[in-house]
Amino acid sequence: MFRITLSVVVVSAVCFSGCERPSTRLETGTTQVRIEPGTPPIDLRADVNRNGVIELDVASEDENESTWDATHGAIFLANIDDDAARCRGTDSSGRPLPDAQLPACNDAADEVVNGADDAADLAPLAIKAWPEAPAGTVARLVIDPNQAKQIRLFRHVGDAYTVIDPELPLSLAELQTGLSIALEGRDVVREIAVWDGFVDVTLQVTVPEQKYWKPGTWSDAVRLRVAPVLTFHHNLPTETAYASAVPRDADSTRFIADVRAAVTAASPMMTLETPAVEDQWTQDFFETGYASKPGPGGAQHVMRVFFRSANIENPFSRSFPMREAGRLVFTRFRGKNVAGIQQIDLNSAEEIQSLNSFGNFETIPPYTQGTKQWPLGRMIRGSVQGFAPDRSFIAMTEGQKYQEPAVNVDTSWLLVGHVDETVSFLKASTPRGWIMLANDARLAKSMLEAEVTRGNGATRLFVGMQWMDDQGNEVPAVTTISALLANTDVMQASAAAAVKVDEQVAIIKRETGITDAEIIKLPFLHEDVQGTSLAHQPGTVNLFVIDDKTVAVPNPHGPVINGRDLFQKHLEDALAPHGYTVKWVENWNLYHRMAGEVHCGTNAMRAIPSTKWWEVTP
Amino acid sequence: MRTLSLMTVLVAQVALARGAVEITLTPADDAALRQHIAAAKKSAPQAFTAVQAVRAQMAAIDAKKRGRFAPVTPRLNAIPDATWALAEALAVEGALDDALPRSAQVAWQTGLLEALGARRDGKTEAVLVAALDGATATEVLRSAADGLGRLGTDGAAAALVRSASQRSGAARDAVLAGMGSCRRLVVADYLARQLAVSTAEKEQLALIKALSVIGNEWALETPAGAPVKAEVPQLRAIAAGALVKRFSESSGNVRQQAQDAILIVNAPETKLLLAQARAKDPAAVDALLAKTR
Repeated sequence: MFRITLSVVVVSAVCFSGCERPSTRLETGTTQVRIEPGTPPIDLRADVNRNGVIELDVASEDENESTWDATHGAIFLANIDDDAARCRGTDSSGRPLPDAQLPACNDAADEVVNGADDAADLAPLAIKAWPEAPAGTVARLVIDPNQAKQIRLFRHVGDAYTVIDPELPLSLAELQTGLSIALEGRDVVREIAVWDGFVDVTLQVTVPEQKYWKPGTWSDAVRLRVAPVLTFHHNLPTETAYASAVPRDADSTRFIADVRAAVTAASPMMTLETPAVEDQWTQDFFETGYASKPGPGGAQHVMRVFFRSANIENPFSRSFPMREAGRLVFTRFRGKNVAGIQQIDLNSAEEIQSLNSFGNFETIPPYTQGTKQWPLGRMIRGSVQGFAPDRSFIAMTEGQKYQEPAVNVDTSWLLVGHVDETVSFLKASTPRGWIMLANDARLAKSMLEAEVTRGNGATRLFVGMQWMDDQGNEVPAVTTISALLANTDVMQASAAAAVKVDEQVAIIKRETGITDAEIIKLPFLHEDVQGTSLAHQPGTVNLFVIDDKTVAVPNPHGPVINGRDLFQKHLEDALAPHGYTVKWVENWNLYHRMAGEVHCGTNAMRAIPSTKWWEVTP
Repeated sequence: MRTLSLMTVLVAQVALARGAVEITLTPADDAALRQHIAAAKKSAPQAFTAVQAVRAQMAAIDAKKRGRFAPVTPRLNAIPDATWALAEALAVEGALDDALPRSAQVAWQTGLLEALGARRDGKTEAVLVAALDGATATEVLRSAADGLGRLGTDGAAAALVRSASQRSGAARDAVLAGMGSCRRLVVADYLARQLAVSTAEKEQLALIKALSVIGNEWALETPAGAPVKAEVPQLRAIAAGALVKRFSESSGNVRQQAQDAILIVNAPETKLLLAQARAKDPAAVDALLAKTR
């Protein structure tokens, strides 16, 4: 079967290089006019040249149409947004939909094209008219069954879209007049071994015996690829910021006010969304991304994407095992040109649940390392043997290909285990285009020791900060430089953290080629909790990169020396040469006391990069 | 009656698996504990109120946790004069309400054990030894060993070695992983000897972690880092020796963790030890030598 199809494709390719047409020819020496049958002009088109429209008479739309690479090949979106805002998070009785059912509603879930916005998410194909197609000709669209499950084809006539049943042949009239087709992707790549994202659509035409056209089965195939879902890196400016508004929590209100001030300072046009949700870990329960396909005029037609974290929160609940706040992906964010994605292995171990939070899924900005290029950035996460995120979720991100394989670093030594606890990335006017921030407990110790030498050992840190919340007896967190340096447990954890971060940095240097000159060390000490490590001082590396000039950073509440916070001064001085303004955010109560900082409490939908993924070789 | 008794045992076992700690003291130790508690309630009543406030908030704290467990230790560490308030919460009041999630129970118990140990008050040795003997959940067992180890007393060291020797499997690994906080020669010797003969990867990793703690350079520089100052050079030397040996004889994650531990200990002997081990894998040793300070 494969051989037959292949041979037919070759024949049709020859045809399109210079199609024979039925022609009349005078046979010399006879009185008869003999008609030599022509090769049927079977022509299925897709947007092979990636200009957003189908062109029936442009050669680049037809050349190499059955192959796909960075120079050519048609693209389709997984049409999993909700353009007409039809989807609800509840059933007909108003009860919340179970976790497993929540993603099921989207534009690809039905056989209807839900308006112009929905139609714009479909990939155009066309069968070029063959007006002379003889009676008895049978045409079909043939797709490998495994690929066919991933898509739906619509017949597009006027404003109407009707599903093409692949079991049924097209009508002769459709072949004669030509047919506009719209291809709808039903899902993203979940596991590359199951489906690699490609779909080959073949127009197969069987021509009966007659005198005008060569009989037999002829075909023309086009190859399309589903758009990968890509995540954002910090070189891209924020368009919409997010921070959970924890109900009845004054610390949350304060935190949001500080973040809002930072966002507004960056750009008055930038918005801050504050969903009211008990889960304060805004960074963790969803991740933003996008998928795009060529649009008219060379623009990217974009679908924003929200991932729900693969966190199991209620392992004994059949209907609602997942982290509840992640439902916002579908109940709040999914909508017009915005998709929601959920992927989880409900059998994954309790021990690795924290790794599935998105504070552990970051994206290194674009770079080239040797012959390897990562023009869209590269994922980085905490993952080592025996302590790795949900396998099915990783299979999905790996299936997107363009930002994988990820750089994996060891975060198993951290209480929370997220990569955003120790490293971050900033856009910079350097040849690389970005710099890295990395925690350095060794630097913190030496800075504090230097202050002791200068006679400042009695200077206090954490002034005014408390270790309890408003409902209990507040216990002052205040300490002194000397007391901190004498704290055995803090020093023990900090010594280990220094080595462990060195190891992370070494891996990132090896994988990216970044040099020490491109790394800014951020000083803070650690403490030991349950045999794992946690930032003892507010972890300033866990910051929110708003754009290329503004960062929102946890107030370190360091010792005030000569009128300035030692650690604030260090960070401001380190970032100033790169043009950054530091906005200090008060997050001690809400986040630092609970093992997180500003980055953990924020999230961002960022600008779409100008680099088109389809022009990149993964 | 027999059924009831079985049920009681089962309930107790479930509670232990959920993070509870069963503490059994001798009458004398129990009496001493109650005396200390009574005295502390007069001298530092606010500490008891503060510890109780944390306990009362455990449901809320657990609900807001970011990782597997909420960090309770720093809150308890910050409460001044709370040694006996912590001991009371651990040994007298016992587990949290069973209705709370296991994560809350574990966070509370580990927080109490670590914070009590961090006081480094030898008078709490009996309570912490009893906690080590009565803990079942591995997370709690590790913290019990860690908390007891911080006392650094002869009794603590002996109890830890005994506990590790008597236990097996994950429970033994938990004790081993926690006992490095007991910076005493007898413990260092034990850990080094165990690492030399260990064949199970998880056990090796627990021992490496413990040796990185017992010989931790920065911790040993602090005033309370080592209960017996004269032992400090030997602690680091023993840790470094055992770690370099394991580094040179292992591969993969065990080697990586051994390397990190060697750097954390940063003993004066490290370079010499590595030079002696160089023949087995010159490239790996040279790479590590380049990282030593």
